[in-house]
Amino acid sequence: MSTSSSSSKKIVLKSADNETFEIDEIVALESQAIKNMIEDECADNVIPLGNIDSKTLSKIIEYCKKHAESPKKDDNADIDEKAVEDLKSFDAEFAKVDMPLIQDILMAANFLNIDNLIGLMCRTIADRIKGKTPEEIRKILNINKNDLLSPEQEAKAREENSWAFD
Amino acid sequence: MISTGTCDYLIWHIHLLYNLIWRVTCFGWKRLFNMINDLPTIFEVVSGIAKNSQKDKKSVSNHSSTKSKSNSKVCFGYPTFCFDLLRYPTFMFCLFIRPVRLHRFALQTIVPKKKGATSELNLEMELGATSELNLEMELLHMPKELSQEGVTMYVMHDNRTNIIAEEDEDRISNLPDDIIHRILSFIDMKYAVQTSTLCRRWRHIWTSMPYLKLNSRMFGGVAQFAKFADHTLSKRNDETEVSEVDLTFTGLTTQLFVKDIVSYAYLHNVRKLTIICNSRKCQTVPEYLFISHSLEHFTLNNECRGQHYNTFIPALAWDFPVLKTLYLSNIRLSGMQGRQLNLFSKCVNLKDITLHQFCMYIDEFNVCCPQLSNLTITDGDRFPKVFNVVAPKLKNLTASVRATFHLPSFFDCLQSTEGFDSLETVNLFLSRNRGIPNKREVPMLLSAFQKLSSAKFLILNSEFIEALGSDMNQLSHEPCPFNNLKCLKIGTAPLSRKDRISQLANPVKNYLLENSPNATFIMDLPQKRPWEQLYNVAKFKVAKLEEKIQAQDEVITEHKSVHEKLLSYIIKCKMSELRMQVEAGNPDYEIIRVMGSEIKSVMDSIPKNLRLNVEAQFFSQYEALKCLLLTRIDASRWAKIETELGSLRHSNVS
Repeated sequence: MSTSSSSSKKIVLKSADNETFEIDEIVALESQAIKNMIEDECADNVIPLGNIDSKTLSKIIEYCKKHAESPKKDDNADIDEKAVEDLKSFDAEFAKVDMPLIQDILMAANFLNIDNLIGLMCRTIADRIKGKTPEEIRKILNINKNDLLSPEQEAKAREENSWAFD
Repeated sequence: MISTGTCDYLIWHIHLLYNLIWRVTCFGWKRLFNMINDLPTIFEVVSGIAKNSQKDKKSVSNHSSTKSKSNSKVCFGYPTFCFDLLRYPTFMFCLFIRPVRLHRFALQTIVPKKKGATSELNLEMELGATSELNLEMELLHMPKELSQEGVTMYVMHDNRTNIIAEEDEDRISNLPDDIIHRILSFIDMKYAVQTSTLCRRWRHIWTSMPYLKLNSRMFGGVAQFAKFADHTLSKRNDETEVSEVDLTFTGLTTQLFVKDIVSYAYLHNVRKLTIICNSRKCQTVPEYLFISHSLEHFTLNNECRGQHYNTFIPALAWDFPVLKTLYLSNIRLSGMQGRQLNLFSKCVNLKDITLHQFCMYIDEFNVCCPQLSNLTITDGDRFPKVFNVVAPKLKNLTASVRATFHLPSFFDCLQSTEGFDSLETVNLFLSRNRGIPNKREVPMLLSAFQKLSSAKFLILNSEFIEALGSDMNQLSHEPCPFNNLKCLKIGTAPLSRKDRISQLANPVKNYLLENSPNATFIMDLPQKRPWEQLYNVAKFKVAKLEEKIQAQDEVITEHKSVHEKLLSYIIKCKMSELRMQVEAGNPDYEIIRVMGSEIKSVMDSIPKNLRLNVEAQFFSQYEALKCLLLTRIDASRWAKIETELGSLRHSNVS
């Protein structure tokens, strides 16, 4: 990793519950949104993230740190398989959290535009709802009761797509 | 206007035209930031939160307070909006609003206001059934001096607009469609369609999925699957593009539904197409499959077990002008005698080619791709006479080579009319079904190395070490083909040949790195077998335990001797007491009896391992005492004393 003065620049993030996090710029660059702000020189002050609580934010920083540190899979000839494996197992461990936190992370990752993390969270959610009945999925995703279809509407939806319910 | 309750599922998703957003110069943004923070955000205005939060400050907008009565729960799924409204007098943004019961709403100013002067922009819109609308807005009351500057504003979601979702909130449904699509992209299309019964939010979401994951194994038969695919495509929102299609089915590629799906995908500008069929029967892949002007990643694989190579690829130039990645597996290429086959001549953007398990019954196969960077050729069963690679940007070559003589191997046919000058990494895998390395292999390997001499990183499996090492004599006569190696890596060797390989590794390494003195050398020697490791661990543990036991033994013997001394001292005391009794001439038999039982109890308390020693001591003292006393008192009295002590003696002997 380079140790030039530019890479040791710090970025300060502030969570919804007013906790501040100081991170290296290189870690912050994992987020496309922050990257754009840095490029436009709008990241000199504290960046307030009013919709991300400190628990979620610290989790996201943990992810960004790990991914910023590990060597990128570019055209570099000597691809370190160990590092790739290491990152994979880190991701698998990282995703072992409960659904509300996954949803928070996904929302925050979407907001901060961290593509890898969005992908990881989406895959995790998909794995958890795979092969489950609608009732189970509603429970897993905690679907809002006010948004449920009425029995007639549900029957209609089923009827419309009956070819998918074999 | 928002009526109470209609905002329940309203989601804001503001995409400002990307080009307008990010790349702008930045002057005075802080000033603007502060100014805009005094104003309600779009969200607040629209949702009516502005009314509540602003009332105690200063009422910015009278209109909104009368129009918007909503205090309903609104989730702001996309809270940041960044815009550059001052640079572009007319700025556009798109509002993606879910098809909910929202009919009208008011949009109010986001124009920074100057002292006192309220610049407001009111906009009312009728929203029909459309879920998406483009809204063009002109900023009328632009402060003049500001309009001269290019300004970027980042309005972060601050506390005033921070509506934290309730604990049991369904956060996923509040996310934009593309995220939900991405979740569903990992799930088979059958189950994606079934999510239409989950709730209102998910009712129609599958119809705009850009990913189609179709697998005939999810259905009882191919006919059912074909019906499903037909329905899916016809019910799908025809206006949304398809970005990825993953099609897996049993049977031939000539089936009608394959054509329907692939044609649909090509018509909707698919970028990534994966076709996995499963058939033992002979088939020629239909030609329409190889014409697409949008396809970037293409995979074709017949995954039926065993290598039949019954999937024929038509011998025509593929029309994939933007194709970047190609993966072909278990296929057969054949052509007329003496003909060249140039499949990729029109695929000018190809960067990665992987050919896995193939059979080529042709004379010459050409790979002429100006952009090609990675070429992987593995498990080929039959190679053409000439495998010509013309790729000036080729960086990575991976190939598996069979060590046989009756069939030409990849090394024999590989050639490049323009050379492999750009090569960086060469990863070679030599396989051998049976037999041992043969001296005749060495020239073949050396001539191949000659072709790939510009490689900087060379990765070989351990089989190469044995093959090259089989004739060190030959190596010493040939100059090393590599001039510019930075790294040589030898893969893990099987344990059974570990000794031989580690013996040969050094001379072979010295040969390969002859001209590259600064290259690093990496070799993974095989790990010891698990039981060997276990044995070593066990041995170590046993040794430790033994050490501990020995230390304890020392302590015990120390204690033992102290104990012994103590006991013999007690017995000595008792004996002298007894002696005193007898010597007095008139022994008190009662005292002697007590003494006897006392000695007995002491003897009994001695642990068995000590007792022998103490007993021997005791009896020698006893006998000595007896001899001594017999001279003093008559035998009848001694016999009486002995009977009093008697029980002691017997029990001890036993």
